[in-house]
Amino acid sequence: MTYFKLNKGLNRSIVTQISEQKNEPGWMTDYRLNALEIFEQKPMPLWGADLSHLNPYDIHYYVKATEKQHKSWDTVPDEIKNTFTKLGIPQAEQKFLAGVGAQFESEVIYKSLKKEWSDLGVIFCDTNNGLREHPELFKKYFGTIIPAHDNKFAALNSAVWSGGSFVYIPAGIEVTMPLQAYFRINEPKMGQFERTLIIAEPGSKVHYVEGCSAPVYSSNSLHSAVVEIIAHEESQVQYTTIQNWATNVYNLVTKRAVAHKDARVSWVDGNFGSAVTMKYPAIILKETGAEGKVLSIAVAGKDQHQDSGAKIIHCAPHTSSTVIAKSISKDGGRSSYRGLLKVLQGGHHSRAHVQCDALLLDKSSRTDTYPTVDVRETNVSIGHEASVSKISDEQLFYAMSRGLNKQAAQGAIISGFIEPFVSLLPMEYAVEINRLIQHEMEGSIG
Amino acid sequence: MKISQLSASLLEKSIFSDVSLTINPGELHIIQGKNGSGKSSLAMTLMGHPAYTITQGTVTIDGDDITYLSPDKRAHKGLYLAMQYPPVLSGISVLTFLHEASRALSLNFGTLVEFSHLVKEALEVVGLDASFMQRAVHDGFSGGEKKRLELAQILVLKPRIIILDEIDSGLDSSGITCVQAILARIRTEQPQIRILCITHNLTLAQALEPDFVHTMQDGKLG
Repeated sequence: MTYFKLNKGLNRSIVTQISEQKNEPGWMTDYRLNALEIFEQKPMPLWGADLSHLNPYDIHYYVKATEKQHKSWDTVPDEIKNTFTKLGIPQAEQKFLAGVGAQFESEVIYKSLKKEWSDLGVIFCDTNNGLREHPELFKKYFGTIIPAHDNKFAALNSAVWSGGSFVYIPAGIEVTMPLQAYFRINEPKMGQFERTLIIAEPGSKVHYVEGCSAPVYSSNSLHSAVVEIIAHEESQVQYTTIQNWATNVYNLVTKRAVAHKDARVSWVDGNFGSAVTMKYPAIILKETGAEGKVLSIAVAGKDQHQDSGAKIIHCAPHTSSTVIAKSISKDGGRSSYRGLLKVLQGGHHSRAHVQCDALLLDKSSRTDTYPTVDVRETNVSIGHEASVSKISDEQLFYAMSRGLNKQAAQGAIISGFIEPFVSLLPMEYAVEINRLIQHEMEGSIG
Repeated sequence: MKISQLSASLLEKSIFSDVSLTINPGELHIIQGKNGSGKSSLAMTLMGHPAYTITQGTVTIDGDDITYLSPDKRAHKGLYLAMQYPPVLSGISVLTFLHEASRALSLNFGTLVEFSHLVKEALEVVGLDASFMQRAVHDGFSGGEKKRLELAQILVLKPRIIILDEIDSGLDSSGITCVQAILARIRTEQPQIRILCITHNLTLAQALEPDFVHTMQDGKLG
């Protein structure tokens, strides 16, 4: 495969080239250039994980695979099919094949959508195509939930974004099979800046699944995505991510959803890889009856810092939210839960529950919880629970007394710990996650 | 099972000492005694709980020395402890847990579906609804339900030596009748089974028609 690769670094000329290369309308070029200015003005965040070794000017900002987009599986090159095989996709996703969108390098090269879905008016395409083919819809929503000035890395993404998924579900349409995208980095010093926009019209229902896997590299890589979800009245959106970046990747992601009247939004977020992850999926419960859930799991191993959490903002009455965050730290890894729960004036009769459970597998690992609760209404029900545990000697003894050896007993207890998360995944992902966890735990249990 | 002059300590404090006891195939022994006399500590030590340090003596099963074996290796020798306060295993269903245990013990019960029938039957025998199969082990169970699950596992995991630690605590009279019925059933099915029942409930002690009754006092077995 051949690549079109721009020089390393970041300036107006690079951003303009990215936009020109994609034949974008002028407003998007201006949007990108404006975002670049914001990026340059904003300082690096001094809170959260340590980003001092990240140099955002030492990254390739655009790499385009020159192969054309493929509409059907038959026309996908063998090279890509082999990659899918190696990643275990056929087992996991064969039956969903028609719904797979894959990000190979910076461009989606394989994508197909089941005919009945397109007949229903469902749009599931590469975000660049979304801009080209649905300009008005795109412009109406793009950047409305996460504006470029939201934070430094949202600004960076807004300047250099490429790829990602554009999803539109018309009113009353339920997409029964999950829409799945597979993301992948295989180029050193290459940034991944996908941009995903999901619009669920009133009464619609969709589950979007994104999984990542990347080989290990010696040089720093940066992944900085932005995901925006608009869930209109009575719609239901679930967004599931399995993140398993190589352990040299900085994974700095902004994800936010707005839930309108009686809409339900869930972020299901699994963080296994990367050197540093900073990711706090957010839900703004904007209108009466809206419901939000964030369920996450983070596994922090050697030299990894998973700084993740959730942000929930109750703006309207009778809104409800649940946050369940699980983390496992081992081999000196560090996990942090950083959460914001806010009930604004007018958010009366809201209910919120936050639960953070951390499991520490050894003494060299670390876990922290940084919860912020800001409630400006009196008639609300707020619950917050946090626990830090080791695998208890009593549990271990019990499982072993029934015949399980130490490693099997620990594996069973860890599987039990993450079960509330795994049970929410589609079956094939649940199987993969269990396999991944068992694999992660091998060698770290003695 | 032969316990010879066994002494153990917990946090460097002596808990019981010089305990000797032989349980031959087919025998049912009772150890009674007050709270704090060292009965439960003996049970935990026999199963290999890491908090207890053996300072003297040996334990053998059919001539094999198990004194310093890990709990799983003791389970492989056929030893089973129904615990007084079993811990909760969150997120692990009773069915999954027992399936893993039966695989670890190389018991061949066929597929998970076939195995689930066996578990269901065992639960019914101890008076638990089949739905307990899908619940996490001991999670949200009442005191009596915990004891019933400890008993049900005996029917599934088929141990050769059973230690029951205060099995009657938390059980009402129907539960105690259930303990009697299960032990009677096991003894009929497996005449060679060895049972050590630790209790301070004299009614239960008598009802089980033990072969031997011992009393533990201040860490000594009389």
